[in-house]
Amino acid sequence: MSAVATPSGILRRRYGETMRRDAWWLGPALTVVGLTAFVLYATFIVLAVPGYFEIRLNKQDFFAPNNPAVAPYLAPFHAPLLFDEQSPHAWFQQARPSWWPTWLPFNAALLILIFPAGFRFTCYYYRKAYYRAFWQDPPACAVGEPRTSYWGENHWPLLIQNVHRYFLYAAIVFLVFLWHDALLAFRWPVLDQNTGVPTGSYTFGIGLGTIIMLINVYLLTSYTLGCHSFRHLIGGRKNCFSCPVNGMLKPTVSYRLWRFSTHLNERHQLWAWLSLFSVGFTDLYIRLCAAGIWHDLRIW
Amino acid sequence: MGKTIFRIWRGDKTGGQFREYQAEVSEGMVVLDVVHQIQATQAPDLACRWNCKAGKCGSCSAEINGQPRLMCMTRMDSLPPGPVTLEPMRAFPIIKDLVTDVSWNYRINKLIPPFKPRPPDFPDGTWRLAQEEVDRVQEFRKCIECFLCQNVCHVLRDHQMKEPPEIFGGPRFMIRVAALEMHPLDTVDRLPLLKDVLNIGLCNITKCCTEVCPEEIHITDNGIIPLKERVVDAYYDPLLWLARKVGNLLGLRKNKKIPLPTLQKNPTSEA
Ligand code: SF4
Ligand code: SF4
Ligand code: FES
Repeated sequence: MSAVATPSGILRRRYGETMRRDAWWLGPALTVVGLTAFVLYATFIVLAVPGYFEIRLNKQDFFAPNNPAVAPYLAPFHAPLLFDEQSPHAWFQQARPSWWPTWLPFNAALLILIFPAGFRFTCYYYRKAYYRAFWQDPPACAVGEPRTSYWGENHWPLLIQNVHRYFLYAAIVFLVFLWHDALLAFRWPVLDQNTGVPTGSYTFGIGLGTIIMLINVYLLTSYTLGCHSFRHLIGGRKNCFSCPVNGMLKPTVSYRLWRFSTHLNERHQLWAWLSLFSVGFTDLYIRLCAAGIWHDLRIW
Repeated sequence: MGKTIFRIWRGDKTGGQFREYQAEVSEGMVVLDVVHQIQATQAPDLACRWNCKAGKCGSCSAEINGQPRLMCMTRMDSLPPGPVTLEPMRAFPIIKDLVTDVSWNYRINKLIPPFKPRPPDFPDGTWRLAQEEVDRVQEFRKCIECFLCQNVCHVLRDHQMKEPPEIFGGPRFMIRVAALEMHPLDTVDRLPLLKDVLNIGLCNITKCCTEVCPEEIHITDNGIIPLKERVVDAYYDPLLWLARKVGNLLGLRKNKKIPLPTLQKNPTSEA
């Protein structure tokens, strides 16, 4: 058979060679499909579809003047919405920062998405996923590799993965924004009975989009708080949870937090995929409604 | 269950090949039983290492249908129908047939400074610990040193990073360090060892070690990644670096540099 003994008596497999008989290639293949689809969608939205991040009265021309929002949703790829002239989600009611050069197209999403993208790119789970699926190092356990040379994360460029905790800090700030936007999705503009134009007052309400946004932020929270760096930060870095009160032997706050994060961390892979899917889906749903291609359902 | 074909790798460090054997498999048999049957009836010279037959001694590691597993804990009825391939571990030098030379692991083990507790808390020479303080390190102490994780780890298996200049300690020794580093009573700092001698940075957290561990230790999530985070604390986090500098200036911290051990030569290597 193809087992070749090297002088040291160690048998090295060639690329893709294995005695495994199960579908070891399926996991990496699904990873490639899932991640590629998401990256393509995100790039398309950010670069090719300006606007349509909320549902406005005039669905044909999103940027038409006096085009108020008729539903309280915000597409997550646009959260936090820093600059917009009309949206109630905007922090500054202007089209762009005043210092921004007019000749340069302003794309806030591009600047903002760097943070969640960086968080996922340096996440310990996603690292495993793309090292296996894209870099084939290894393609799967006990399956031969394409290259003999190896630096791992011990040298540049991958040494940069150690920055992960800083992206975590940004991700926690994002969670605050996203919860804020999800809660705002309960605050509906009151529309004029005849014209459908917002009257300027607000009322409590729930739409299908509200529920979708709420599920999305719940999944994102479960993913973020199960992060390995978070788990380290809130307690894992300690050797002793009850020291220096040692002797009291009481579970401390950091122990409880660490247990909570551990609980989420055990399914980090699941939360990573669910939240990735839900962000993409929530974004798509709101944009389809904004463009009038799909219609939101008002439940309450 | 009837007859099953076994393809067993036979050979030594000069080379070898698969040989076919017919085995009579009955209910409840594990792979190691079949090997014993083949030894008894067809191949008395078939070499295989085993001891407890209960998944506790860690001797009978092999690759069954390409998957690193304990022969004594792999039930025949858990394998798909068809011929079964059986080979020695791939990451270590062959001695004969299914037996490999795992002594490199013992050389790595010697690099790790042992447990050194703080002075006793009480005059009777004892300490008090809460259960939850010990739970975390107990998981790592379940290790039976079967070296299946070392075998499947691609850094050791495919890249063979076992001798200087750059060695990788491997998952088994990462969790040995974790058990010591996370111990509430221990006083030794093994982070320099982790970073510069055992080269924890070579692990790319692809988790094959966790997948094969027969003791179901969460090697990567509970051992290696928390240690990586501690190495980041000590060497890569700019804010913590700044805090340490300020602490040093104010004389709040005492830095002791300890010399790092180096891997001893393999006593049996010809080179
Ligand atoms: S997670 Fe790290 S130690 Fe474990 S098999 Fe993968 S590279 Fe090796
Ligand atoms: S950690 Fe698990 S796989 Fe590795 S030597 Fe110990 S018991 Fe075996
Ligand atoms: S014979 Fe002891 S672990 Fe298999």
